[in-house]
Amino acid sequence: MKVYFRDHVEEFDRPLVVNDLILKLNLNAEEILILDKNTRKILPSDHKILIDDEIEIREVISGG
Amino acid sequence: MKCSVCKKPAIIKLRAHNVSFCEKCLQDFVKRRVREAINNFKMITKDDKILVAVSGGKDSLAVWEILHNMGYDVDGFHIDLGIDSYSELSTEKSIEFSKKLDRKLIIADVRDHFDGKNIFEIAKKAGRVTCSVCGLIKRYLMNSSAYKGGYTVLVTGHNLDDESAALFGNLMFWRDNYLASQYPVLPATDPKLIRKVKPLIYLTEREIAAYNIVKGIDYIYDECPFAEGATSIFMKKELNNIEKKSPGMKLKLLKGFFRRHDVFKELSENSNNLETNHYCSVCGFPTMADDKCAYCRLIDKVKG
Repeated sequence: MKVYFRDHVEEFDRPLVVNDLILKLNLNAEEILILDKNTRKILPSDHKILIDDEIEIREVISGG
Repeated sequence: MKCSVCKKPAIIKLRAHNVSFCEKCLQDFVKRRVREAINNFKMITKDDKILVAVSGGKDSLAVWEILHNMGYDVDGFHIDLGIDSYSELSTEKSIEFSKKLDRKLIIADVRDHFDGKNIFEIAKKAGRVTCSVCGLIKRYLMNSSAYKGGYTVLVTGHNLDDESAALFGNLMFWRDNYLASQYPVLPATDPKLIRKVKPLIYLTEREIAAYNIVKGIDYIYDECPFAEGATSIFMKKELNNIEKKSPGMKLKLLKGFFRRHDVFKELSENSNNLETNHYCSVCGFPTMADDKCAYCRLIDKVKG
C-alpha cells in the first residue's frame, strides 16, 4: 500500500484500516481526510486499505 | 459505518455532532449549517448584491458555490498577490470556478497598485511582516472594490476553525478591541464601509474540505508559503488537540462567545471611541487616522 502525504510516499506491506493508519502515523483525525488516490473518494474510518491500494492523506488546516 | 440519516454507507464521521454521513447527507448538513448561520445572524437577503472574497481555496469556493446554489446574487473578488506559482495557481482556480458558476470574478493584482511589487517586496520595503501587510491590503481592496462595484455585502470564507483560533488568541492576550469586533456580521458603520459576513462560522475546515471533495470542487490545497509557522495554525492545532479529547468544544467555545459578545462590545466602547469619523485625504475612504489611511500610507512608504 502506498500512502502519499506531504510530498512523501510511505509504503506499508500489509492491509490497514483507515483508523489504524491514522494512529500509526500519529495524526489528528480532525485535521485530515483520507482519499483513494485514484477515485478521489473519501475513505471512512472503518475502511480497510488493501495492499495494492494507493491513498492520499489530505491536510485540511490552513493558515487563514 | 452507516449514514446516521439514510443508513447508506457513510464516508465521514463528525464526532462533534456524533453523526456519520454519506456523500449526499454531508452536502445537506453543510448547506443546513450555512443556512442556520445566515438566519441566526440575519447575514444576507435575496435582495443583496453580494461579493465573495475568493482565494481559490476550499472555504471561499465552497461558500461561493453554496450561496450561488441557494439563489443569492453573488460575484467573486480575487487578489493576485504575485507570489510566483502559488498565486498563479490560486488565480487559475478562482477563474476556472467563476466560469463553472458563470459568475463575474473581479481580479485585483497588488503589483498594479504598488509599482509592480509583489506582497513580499511590499512588506520588505515597508519593513513589516508579510501577513500583516497582506491583511491590510486585502481588507482595503475588498472593501473599496465592493463599494465601487455597488455591492451591498462582502462575504468571507472564515470558518469555525479560523474563528475559534482567533478567539483563543484574542482571549489569551485579552485583546478587548479585537474581541469586541470579532463577530459573524460586521455592520456597515459608514456608507463607504461594506457590511461583512461569515456564513461558514458553524463549519470546520474538515467538513468544508469534505464538501469540496464530494462536490468535485477543484480547490488549491497548497498552503500560502508565508503561512508556515503562523500563529493561527499553532492555535488551530492546539484547539484540535482539545477537540480530539472533547468533541464539539470548538463550536461550544464560539457559540458561547457570541452569546456573551455584548459584554466585550460594551467593555471596548467604554474605553475607546471606535467610530471612524475621518476620511482619508487621498482615497476618501473612512479611517481612524487623522489624515491618510493605513493603506495610502503604505503606498507612500513603498513608492517613496
